[in-house]
Amino acid sequence: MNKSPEITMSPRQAQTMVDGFKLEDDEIRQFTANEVIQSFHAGVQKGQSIAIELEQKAWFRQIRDNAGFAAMDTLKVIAFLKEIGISVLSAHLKIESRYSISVLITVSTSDYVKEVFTQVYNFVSALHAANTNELYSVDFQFINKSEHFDIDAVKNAGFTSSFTPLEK
Amino acid sequence: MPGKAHAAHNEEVCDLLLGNGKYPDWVVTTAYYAAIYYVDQKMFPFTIGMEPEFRTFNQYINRKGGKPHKVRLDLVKARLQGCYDNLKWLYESCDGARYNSYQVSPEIAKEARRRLELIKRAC
Repeated sequence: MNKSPEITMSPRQAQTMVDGFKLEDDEIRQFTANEVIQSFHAGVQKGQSIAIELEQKAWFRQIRDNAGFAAMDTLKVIAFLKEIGISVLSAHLKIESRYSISVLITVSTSDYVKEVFTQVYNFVSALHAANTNELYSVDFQFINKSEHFDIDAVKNAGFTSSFTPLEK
Repeated sequence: MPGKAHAAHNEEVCDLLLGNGKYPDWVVTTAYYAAIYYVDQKMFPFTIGMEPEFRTFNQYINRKGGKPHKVRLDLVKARLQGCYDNLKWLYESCDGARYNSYQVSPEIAKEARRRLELIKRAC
């Protein structure tokens, strides 16, 4: 193999050589700005979609957690009603917002018209006051469940999930 | 503000329908809409702290906002606690009739009339 030719030059000649590749300042500025802008855009888009994905995951996690808390509170309401001689037939959950849940509880018509039934309103008020925080609140509604009960009407009102321990 | 006269007017319709027997769903509705005017005329006017007086329920809603039926229930709970349970029962019976295809039983209609009477006496 032939050896590369030895190049000898003076420092001044070397400097001239280097200067021959010199980019003008604004060329450099434009080049790097474009690179930065392109990188920024790529990063922003990627960053945005990542941020959206993370936010969605946080939403789902919060809602799932709150549904769990609502289930625990629903069990407490069921237990209270049992103490006053009233049986719960079904319960249905509605997501009002990321931090707010409503639960519709049904009882028989004969239980619904009992004088004692309305004691549950104070119970759920106290439960609401005790358990509400900036990330979670639950409201309870009640209605009788007759032979004309229409689960589609319940779902149309937003109560899309039924409490499975009560489902037959 | 529809006052006691309008409450009495709705109560009369409630009694007519209860006597008729064919419209229990409307018995509940008229009972609720009689009750709300009884409680309104009992609660208003009032003041909160240094705020200007709230002369009527509509004025309260206009200044404070919120869903009227829920706001009224909260007000009744705070200011007319003796009526709260009965009013809430009437409201939920009225609002929840849709879940039973508006087929309201005679027992519920009768109970609605009874609870209206209790509210009227307390007002």
